[in-house]
Amino acid sequence: MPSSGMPISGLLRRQPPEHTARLTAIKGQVRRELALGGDDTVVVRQLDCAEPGCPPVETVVAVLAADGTTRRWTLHHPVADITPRLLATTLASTPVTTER
Amino acid sequence: MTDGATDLTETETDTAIDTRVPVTVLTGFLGSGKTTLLNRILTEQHGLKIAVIENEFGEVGIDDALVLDAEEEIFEMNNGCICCTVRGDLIRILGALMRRRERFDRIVIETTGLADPAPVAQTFFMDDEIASQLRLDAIVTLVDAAHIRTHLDEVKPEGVENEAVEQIAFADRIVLNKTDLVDHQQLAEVIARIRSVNALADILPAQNAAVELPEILDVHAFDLDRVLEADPQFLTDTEHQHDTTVTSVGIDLEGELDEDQLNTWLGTLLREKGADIFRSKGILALEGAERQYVFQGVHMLLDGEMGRQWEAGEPRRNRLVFIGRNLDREELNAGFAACLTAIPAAVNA
Repeated sequence: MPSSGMPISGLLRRQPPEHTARLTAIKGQVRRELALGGDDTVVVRQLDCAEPGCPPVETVVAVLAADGTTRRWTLHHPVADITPRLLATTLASTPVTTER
Repeated sequence: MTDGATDLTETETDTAIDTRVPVTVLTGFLGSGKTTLLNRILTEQHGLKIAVIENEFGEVGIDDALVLDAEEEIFEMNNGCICCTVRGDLIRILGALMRRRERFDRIVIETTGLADPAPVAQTFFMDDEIASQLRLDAIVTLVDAAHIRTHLDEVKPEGVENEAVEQIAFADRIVLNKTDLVDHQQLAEVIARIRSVNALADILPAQNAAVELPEILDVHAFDLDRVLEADPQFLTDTEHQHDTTVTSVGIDLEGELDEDQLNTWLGTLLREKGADIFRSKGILALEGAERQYVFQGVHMLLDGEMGRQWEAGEPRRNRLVFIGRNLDREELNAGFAACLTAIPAAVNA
């Protein structure tokens, strides 16, 4: 089982407002860098990974395009540590893709 | 916490009015009456503006209703983890719908008879944007009273889920349809069988899917107070347990919880057993908190918030329920009890 979908070490704690602000900023940068249209959807989610050898936290950036294709990048950092430069570098790499 | 989350006890605020759009998910095996119920929802004179997302396009056709077609598309946020799967089609459609927000005031999603409810439910937990605009109101499962036991007893190949079991396990409301096709004895047996899987859901007996819409729409099924207050006995009821691997386990203990210990226990539990825990709900008394903490979860994903204020002199009572496969009641009870700051007193012993 590679991961769970919430902050394991703080299940019952709310994310601070900065977390939401960072997600919004990341989504905005993804839209700009990839020149996405209004019908394309961006999902950003921090996941905790329980798999041996994996970093304990990773953030998934997914683009679900209107044409049914999806692209997905994984950053081995929590949302709070993702800088614009790191995100730009990641987005320039080859994503995991699926097609409808 | 690694990403600097805020301690709950420092963030208590008055409960605000929830303006998010309620979403009802209709599940049920083929022939259970989903489309009949959906047509009823759309044709009754209730004055509601309902957007419908359906898998079998064309089955409902209402001139002024907003009906969208969905093709079941499972999207993995993380390879191989069922707890991180969402419905890509729903993410796209919900996003598009929210750009036409003025055209509807609630959403109904009809799934196929064989759909896994987990990715549908997890879609509402996975993305902040969706969670901030949409509220999963209830999962409503239709059941054919005459045939459900056959479906529940169907032996699947190893690794293949029994969809009927999952659909009942995930439900907040179960419309027990076609009761006219069974006698009283059979009906009682069906209800007992459903209860053995899901002790928490309200069961609504019906013919021709005729249920009062307020019983299935905007019911705030995730508002736990009402649900758990209604039938606290289920929490420790083992009398009706059947030989099934999917069951409900309730815990009802008085006392205050050490938040750090609870986080550690719940985190470990969901990390190690989350794939088998379909649903979880709870009302908790955190040490030092003036309000209840209310949470709900689907597999490993949890969402929670501060609930109502504890009343003066009200016992600090913790109630939670897990619905899932191969649950160990004693282990769950012991693990939770260890999170209390003092020796627990069982409420329904």
